[in-house]
Amino acid sequence: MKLVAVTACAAGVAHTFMAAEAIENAAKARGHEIKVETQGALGIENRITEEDMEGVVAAILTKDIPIRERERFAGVKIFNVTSTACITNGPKIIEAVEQQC
Amino acid sequence: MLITKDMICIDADLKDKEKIIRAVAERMDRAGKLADQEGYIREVFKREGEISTNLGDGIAMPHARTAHVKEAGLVFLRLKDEVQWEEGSAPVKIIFGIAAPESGGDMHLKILASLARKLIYEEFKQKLFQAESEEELLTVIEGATGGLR
Repeated sequence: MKLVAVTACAAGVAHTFMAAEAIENAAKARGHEIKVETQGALGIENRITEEDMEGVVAAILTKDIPIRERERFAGVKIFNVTSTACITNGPKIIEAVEQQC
Repeated sequence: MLITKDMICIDADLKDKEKIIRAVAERMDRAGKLADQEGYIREVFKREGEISTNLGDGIAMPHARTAHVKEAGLVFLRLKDEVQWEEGSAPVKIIFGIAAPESGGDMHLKILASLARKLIYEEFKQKLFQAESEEELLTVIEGATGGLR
């Protein structure tokens, strides 16, 4: 499956990046393709472009704080999760995506 | 430098969260990282109120990004005895205290981001628990982040 994810948190220095790493690992471990954008203290990194969105079936978005430029994900199934859930339960989130997509 | 040997302690004798966060702030201040120590402490507690920084696995990462910070700093404390981080959560033994300035300091923020990413890996965490000296820990952290400047 082709997936994207965006992680962000209030301080933008810790959870954002732990969550990004964890969700990327969890997706790849299950053989999925994923691009993960971080919206942390350094702004948007590894930005998901329109081109990246081609063929994407689901977007995993953290809900700690509002995700910027969310309109990019209109048209794909969105999974709103906490950054903490990504860190502690990445594989569970990917499992849910697999079941619902 | 983001972290120096003086900002690391491998057998900190601290019995509760309040004392731990104050100890983190004191080391940050001694290293010249803070503009306002009490202000930084307030922001760390505020952040703790928003989201637990207990990562599980015995590691907590109290942090704040605030104007009370002059430049980014990292304080590492390994506790002599485990401490209950908050009610109902797993006890912690390792503390990564982070201070980040409100603006600027991009290089340091990048280093902190790469360190945060490393913290989800078991192998890296084991090294933090097992390191036998402050020097060794500095090497482990430096290795994980690709340099500390």
